[in-house]
Amino acid sequence: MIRLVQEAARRLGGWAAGLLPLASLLTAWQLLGDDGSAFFPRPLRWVEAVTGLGWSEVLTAVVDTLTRFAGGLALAFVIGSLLGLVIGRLPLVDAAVSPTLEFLRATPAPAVVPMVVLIAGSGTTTLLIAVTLAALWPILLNTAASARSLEPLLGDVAETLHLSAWKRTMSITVPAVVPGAFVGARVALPIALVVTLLAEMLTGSGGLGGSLLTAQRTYATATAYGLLVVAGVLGVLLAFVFGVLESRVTRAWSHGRRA
Amino acid sequence: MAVPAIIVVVWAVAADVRLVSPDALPPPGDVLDAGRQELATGTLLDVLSHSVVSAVLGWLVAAAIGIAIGLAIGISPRIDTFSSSSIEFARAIPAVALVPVAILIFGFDLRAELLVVVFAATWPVLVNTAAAVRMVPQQLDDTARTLQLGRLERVTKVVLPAAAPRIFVGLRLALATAVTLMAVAEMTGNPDGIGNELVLAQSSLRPDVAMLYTLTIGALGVVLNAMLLLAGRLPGLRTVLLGGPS
Repeated sequence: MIRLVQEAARRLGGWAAGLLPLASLLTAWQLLGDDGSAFFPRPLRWVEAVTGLGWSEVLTAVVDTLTRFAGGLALAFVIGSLLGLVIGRLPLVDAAVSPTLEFLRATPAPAVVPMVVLIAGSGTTTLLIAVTLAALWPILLNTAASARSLEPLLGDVAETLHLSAWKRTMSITVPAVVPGAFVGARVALPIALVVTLLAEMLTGSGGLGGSLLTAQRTYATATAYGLLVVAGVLGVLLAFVFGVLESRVTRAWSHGRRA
Repeated sequence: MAVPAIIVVVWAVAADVRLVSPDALPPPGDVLDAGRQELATGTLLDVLSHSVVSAVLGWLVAAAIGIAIGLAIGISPRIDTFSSSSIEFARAIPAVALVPVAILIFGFDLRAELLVVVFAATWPVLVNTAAAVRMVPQQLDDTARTLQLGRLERVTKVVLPAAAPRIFVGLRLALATAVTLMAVAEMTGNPDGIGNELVLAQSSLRPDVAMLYTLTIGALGVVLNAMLLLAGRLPGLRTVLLGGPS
C-alpha cells in the first residue's frame, strides 16, 4: 500500500516536472507580456476572454464537438473493424482492394470534407460522414493486418475442438483482431478530432470549430488563444480516456484468450 | 488494379443514370474537363506549386526542429523528465485550432500556413527520434567511448546512424502530416493553394472542380511519400546524411 502511494507520488512528481517548460513559458509570457498586444495577449487575458464568452456557451460548443467526434469515431470503429476482418480473412478480397486502400490511406483526410459537403449538404449527417471517413482507414487497415497474421495453429485447434463457426469467431478471431482495431483507433483519434473541428469551420455548424472561426473573424486574439487551450485540454483528455479504455479492453480480451 | 477501374465505371454509371445529382457527384468526364480547364488557365500549376512549397518547406523545418529536440531528449533522461508532459500536452492540441491564432498573428499569409504545418509535423519526428536514440544499444556507446570518440563524434558517428531507420519512419509520418495540415491551413486560413481552390469550388457549387482538387491532394500525398521512400533507398543520400556508409 505504501509502495503504491510512493509510486503514485513519484509519477505525479514526474508529470509535474515535465510541465516545467510549458509553465515557465506561460509565466514569463504573463510577466513580460503586454495586454495591449494585438498578437500576443497575456495568458490571463485568454482566461478572461473565454470567461467573457460565458462558460455555458463554451461548454455547449465543446459538447457539440465531442458528440460529433465520438459518433464518427464509433461508427468508423464498427465499420472499419468489420471490413478489416473481411479483408484480412479473405485473401482474394485482400488482393483486389488493398492497392486502392493504400491510395485512400495516403489521401489527407481533410481533403474529403468539401466533397462530402457538396454531396450531403451541411447538416449533422455531413459532419458524421466526414469524421467517419477520416477515422475509417487506420482502423480498417490495422484490423486487416492483424486478421491477416492470425496464427494458423489456432484454426487447427478450433478444428480439433469442433468449435462452431460462431464460437470460433468469438473466442479466436475477435480477441486476435481487437487489439489491432484499437491501435488503428489510436492513430485515428487525432485525425478525427482535426476533421471534426475543420468540418465545423467549413459548414458553419457551431461547436468548438465554429467558436474558433468566430474568434478569428472578429479579431478576438485572446479568445482564439483561450479556445486553443480548450482544444488542447480536450485533446489531452481524449487521448487519456482512450488509453484507459484501450488497456482495459485489450487486457480483458487477452485474458479471455488465455483462459 | 481492377478495383480502381471498377470504381471509375460505377462512378460513371451512377452519374449517368442520375443516381446522385450531378450537382453533387460529377461524372468522371466533367472532372477531366475541369482538369483541362484549370491547366489551361494556369490555376492548377499555380496553386499546386504554392501547396508543394508550403508542405515541403514546413516539413523540412519540422524535421530540423524535431531531430534536434528529439536527440536531446533521447540522450538525456533529465531533459526527458523535465519536458515530457509539456510535449504530451502540446502534441495533443489539434493543429487546426492553431489556424485562427496563426492568422491573427501573421495575417492571411504563407507564414501563418507554415506555422501550422511546422507545429503539426514536428511531433512525429521528435517522438520517433527520441525513441530511436533511447533504443541505441549501450554496447555501441561503450565501444565509442573505448575508441575515445568525443561527445559530438559519438552523436554524429554512432547515435545518429544507429537511430536513422526509426528517424526515417518519423520523417515519413511527418510528411503525410505536413501535406494534411497544408490543406487544412489553406482551407480555413491562407487563401492560396489547393486547399483554398477546393473550398472555393465547394462554395461556388462546382463539384467537378472540387473533385479535381480532392484527387490532386490525394495524388500529392502519394507522390511525395513515394519520393521520400525512393530517396531513402539512395545510397548516396545515406552517405551524405549519416557521414559514412551504414
